Amino acid sequence: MIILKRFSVWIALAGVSFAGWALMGANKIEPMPTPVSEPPRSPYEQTVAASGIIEAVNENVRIAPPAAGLITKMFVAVGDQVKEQAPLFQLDDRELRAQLLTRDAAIPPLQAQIDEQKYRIGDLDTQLRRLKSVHDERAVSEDDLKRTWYALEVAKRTQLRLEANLKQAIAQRDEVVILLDRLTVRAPREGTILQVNVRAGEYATPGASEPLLLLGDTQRLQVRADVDEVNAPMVAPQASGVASLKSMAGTKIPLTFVRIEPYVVPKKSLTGDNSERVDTRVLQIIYRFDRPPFSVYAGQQVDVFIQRQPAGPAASTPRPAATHQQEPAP
Amino acid sequence: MDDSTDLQTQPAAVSLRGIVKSFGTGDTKVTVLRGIDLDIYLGEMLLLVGESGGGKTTLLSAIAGILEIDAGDIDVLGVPLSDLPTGKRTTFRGQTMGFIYQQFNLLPALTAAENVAVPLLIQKISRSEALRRARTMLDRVGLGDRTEFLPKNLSGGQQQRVAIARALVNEPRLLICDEPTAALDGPNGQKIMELLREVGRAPDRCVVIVTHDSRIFHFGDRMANLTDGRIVSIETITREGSA
Amino acid sequence: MNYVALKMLFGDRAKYLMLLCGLTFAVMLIVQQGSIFWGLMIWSQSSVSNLNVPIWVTDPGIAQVDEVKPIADTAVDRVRSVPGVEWAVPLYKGLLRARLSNGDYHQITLTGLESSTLIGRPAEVLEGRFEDVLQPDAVVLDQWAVERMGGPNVIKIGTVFELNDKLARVVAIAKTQKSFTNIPVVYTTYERAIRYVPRERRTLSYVLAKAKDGVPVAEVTTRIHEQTGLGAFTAEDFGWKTIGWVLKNTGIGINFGTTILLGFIVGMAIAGQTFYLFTVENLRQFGALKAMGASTFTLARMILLQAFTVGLTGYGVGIGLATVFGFMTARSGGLPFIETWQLLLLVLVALLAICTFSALISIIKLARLEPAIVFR
Repeated sequence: MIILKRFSVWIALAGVSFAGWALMGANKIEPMPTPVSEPPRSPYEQTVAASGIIEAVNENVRIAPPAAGLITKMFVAVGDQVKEQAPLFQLDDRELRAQLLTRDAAIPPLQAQIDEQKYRIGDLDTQLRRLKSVHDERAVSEDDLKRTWYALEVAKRTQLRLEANLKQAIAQRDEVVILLDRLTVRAPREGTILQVNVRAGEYATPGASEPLLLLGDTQRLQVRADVDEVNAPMVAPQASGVASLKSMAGTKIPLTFVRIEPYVVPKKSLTGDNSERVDTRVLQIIYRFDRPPFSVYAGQQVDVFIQRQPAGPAASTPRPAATHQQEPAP
Repeated sequence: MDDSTDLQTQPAAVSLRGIVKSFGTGDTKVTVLRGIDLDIYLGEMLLLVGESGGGKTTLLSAIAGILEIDAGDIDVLGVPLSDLPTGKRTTFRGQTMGFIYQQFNLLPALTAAENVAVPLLIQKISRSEALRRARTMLDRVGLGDRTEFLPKNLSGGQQQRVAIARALVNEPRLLICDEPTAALDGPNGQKIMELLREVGRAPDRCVVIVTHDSRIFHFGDRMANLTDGRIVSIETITREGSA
Repeated sequence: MNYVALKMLFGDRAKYLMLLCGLTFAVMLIVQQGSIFWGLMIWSQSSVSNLNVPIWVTDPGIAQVDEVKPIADTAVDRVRSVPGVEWAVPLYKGLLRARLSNGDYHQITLTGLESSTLIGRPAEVLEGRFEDVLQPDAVVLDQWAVERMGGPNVIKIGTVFELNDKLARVVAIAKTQKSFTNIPVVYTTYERAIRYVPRERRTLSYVLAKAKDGVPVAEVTTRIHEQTGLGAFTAEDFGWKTIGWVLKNTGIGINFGTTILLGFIVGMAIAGQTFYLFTVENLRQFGALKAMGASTFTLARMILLQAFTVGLTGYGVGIGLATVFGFMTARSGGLPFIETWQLLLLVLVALLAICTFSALISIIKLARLEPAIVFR
């Protein structure tokens, strides 16, 4: 072939091959890097996905102080199992203790007074009896007799008053004792300390947004799954589900339906801080599960996949395109 | 003399009757051929002479069938050339005619052998066969040792020899030469004419040579003088040597 | 006669080289311009291609990838609920200002990837480990961020800077395709990205998803759109959408398009004219062939053969040279130069067309040629 004798033809062939090689190299689409951990995948053909959180079956108790005050002593640490009425922490009680001292001190003088009064009554009683036994009208005037009787009666009333005073003092002392006891915060029920947000020396005020202690039952846990209200019609009661821990999508926890919370609540963002970043409302569904072989903790986020009935009403009614503005009008 | 008498008894190979050709229109119209009647016979070498602009080349083109004429009949080897469609005429020309030009018109990119082979290639003869026959032909014109030379490496006389070989390679019945010696010096021109007479002239072929070079007039058998678009005389050349 | 045609073409070395150079130059010009243009277009959607995920879901009114329209957080779960979706993860994307310790400010694109999977991370990391982004305050930069923010002396692994007054520490440098705007990209986790940015009501920029194996991606995007009302695009469509936006809304389309068109016309004119001149110069030779009995058809075939031969040769050399140019200048990624087979095919077709066209003109001239020319 005469063509093959030309150098330029060889250059051209080289050019085409080089361009082809470069094209194959440059336009090769690199595969996506494998995820660091497996992304959560639904085990069902038809599914409703939800984000959930693990919580104790009995709703957690957010322990608050009975009154504002300095915390002097913590009796528990995170993770402690506590019995009912077990002390949790101690608020500063010095003021009340000081009051108790004065209240305590107020009782003996009153008792002494009562004793004193008793002797006075005895003395007057003896006087009166002696005056009554003397029947000599000259020796004992009617007037003396009357005066002594009155004095005895007054003394008796005084004792009654003093006894009442004593009772009051005792009651006042008992009040301080009870108030003192109140400063020792106790567990309202048996459970595990999930969170401790205060240390001895800190000042506790009632009504703080963050509970001082979080008490819950970690023996029995449940999952609270948030389903977007738009997807709510797709969820059928009794539908089974599967949860997987965030960043551990391989760990599947089978869920058993418990109930659907009847009230649709605003979704709290589970990521970042959660104050009033309300986007949409969610239907909450409660599932229970048996403890898996690996450890799970209350408060952990989970991805939940709920099985959807193939002939569900929502599946057959596609939403129109313009309804993406599903947030409530302000 | 005997030869030509014999020849003229047979029918003419090329017969021209009343050829008229003019170029341009209106005021610029120039009539070049004004009614040519001419017979050319097989085995003869006819010289077409005359002044420049007398219509020699135009007549040659008409005989070759590469120029449309305005009036008249051209009959080549019994074929009415002027009535043939262009395509058939081209094929006919390729099969029956050979051409030799003043400027040789060799393809500069082809070797001598390849140049000679071109008419065969046009006839769709295979390349190896064409080249073999081309080399034989070059041998006959005395260039057997120059077959692979490019035209630019050959002298003018050698180039014209290649052109002659090319014109003869497909054994044409009609050889048409346009001023074959005009681009050559005297001795070379003589040699080319000798070659044409030796190799080109054949009993079954007629050779038409247009020339105004009087030094080669004696190579012809007959000489037709074309002046002002008319053939003013046809004379038979007496040859001292035998043909 | 093919032999004769090629001999004629190659025989005159100088003429042939001139012809070849003209065609080569024309092809090179077009391929080079076209590739640079395409490279720019690819750059404009590199935000899409760099993440390399199959499906993008966001507000249906989105115009292009860099114009973020945040959607509700629950969109991730809603996309996951669509049949045929294998997985779906959130993505944050937004502009933020970074303040370096030397006081310089730089606008950056903050990209927050889902923390457990890190889906959307670049495939190649130049320094460090991408997984270290899970460490506290850790971010990963792309190589262009290093370049834009002061070079490797200022930005390296361990460099600390501020994002919206919060600490960010560089733990790795990733390799990405340069973007058109060349705004540095800072990668972090989705959760951390939300802590960096000022509080907004909605933070989710995109949901990235993948179709299950065996389900066509286009069908899944349609389903996502129908079921959630969100806009779902394949990465390819989203890239095209972005390119379309850039073409429509910036001057690049008009300016570069004109340049390319001009280059194309000039290149093709050169190619056509060179070849036409070549045949015109050889007209006398063709005339001789015609006189020798070669039919117009044969001559046309010869001319077409010559045209195609020189055209293909010029094409090969031209694209070869253009590719070499692209390889040399664009290898570092600093210049946009992306060849595509579509462009090469287009140039090939155009070149063959123009060669055929000029050959046809020559053929018409040849058909009208009086072979008598050879007698003059």
